[in-house]
Amino acid sequence: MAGTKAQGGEGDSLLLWILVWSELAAFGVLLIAFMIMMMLNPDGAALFRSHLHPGLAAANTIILVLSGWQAALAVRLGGEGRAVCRPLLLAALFGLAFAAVKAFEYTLEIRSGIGGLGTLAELYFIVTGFHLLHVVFGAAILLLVAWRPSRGNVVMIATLWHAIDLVWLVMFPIVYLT
Amino acid sequence: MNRQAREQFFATLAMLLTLAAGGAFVGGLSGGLLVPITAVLVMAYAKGRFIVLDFMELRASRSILKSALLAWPAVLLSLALMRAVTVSLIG
Repeated sequence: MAGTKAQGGEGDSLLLWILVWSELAAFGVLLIAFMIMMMLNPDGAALFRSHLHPGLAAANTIILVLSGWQAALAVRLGGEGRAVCRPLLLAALFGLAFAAVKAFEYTLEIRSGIGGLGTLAELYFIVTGFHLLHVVFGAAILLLVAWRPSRGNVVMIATLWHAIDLVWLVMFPIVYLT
Repeated sequence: MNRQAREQFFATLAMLLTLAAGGAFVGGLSGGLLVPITAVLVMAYAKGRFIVLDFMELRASRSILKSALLAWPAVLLSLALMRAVTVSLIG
């Protein structure tokens, strides 16, 4: 019985890391494509950058760091019991705050006419939109896990959440700053 | 979590927030110059390193997973640096 449980735990862990690496590989390819497009069209890249709002993206970096910190706190508190509900809830709320800021940023960019910039803008919306979907989905799972926390589920969603965080920390300078 | 672990955990958050604010500030004032862009990319890598080592709790690990997770941001940020160098040399 204990052996079956241990095998189940190893299987869960393997699946978790396969999921994490599939995410990192997908975002890696998208970010490389974005960099290539920026390099092939320097004038378009400069025009595209003039439509972005790095200040809002920087605020989102801080929000996501705080969210990841709360998720890590939930794991350090043991990953189960009522004590982990608050950090998981806060992690989810920070995630939703990230989504709200990103939606506001999209509104500003669309109003400024970023949609008319062609492939670069399309790629920008694909990369950041794909990430935004992950944040919204992750926040929903965090809320679910906060409702009924168990050690395995807390570790799993916290690890995925950190992967989403890591993707943003790399995406931010590549898309907005360099 | 004992006191030392809690202090270290808060120190990690403080470092991450400082790097996030610093990176955004330097990036905003870079004006396309190579040195501040390099600084921004190094700070981004430092942030990623903190996430992997402290938030994912892999600091004490010796697994290949840890090396691979640290390599992912390193590769992408190095490519971004190469792009910035190429653009500054050509432009």
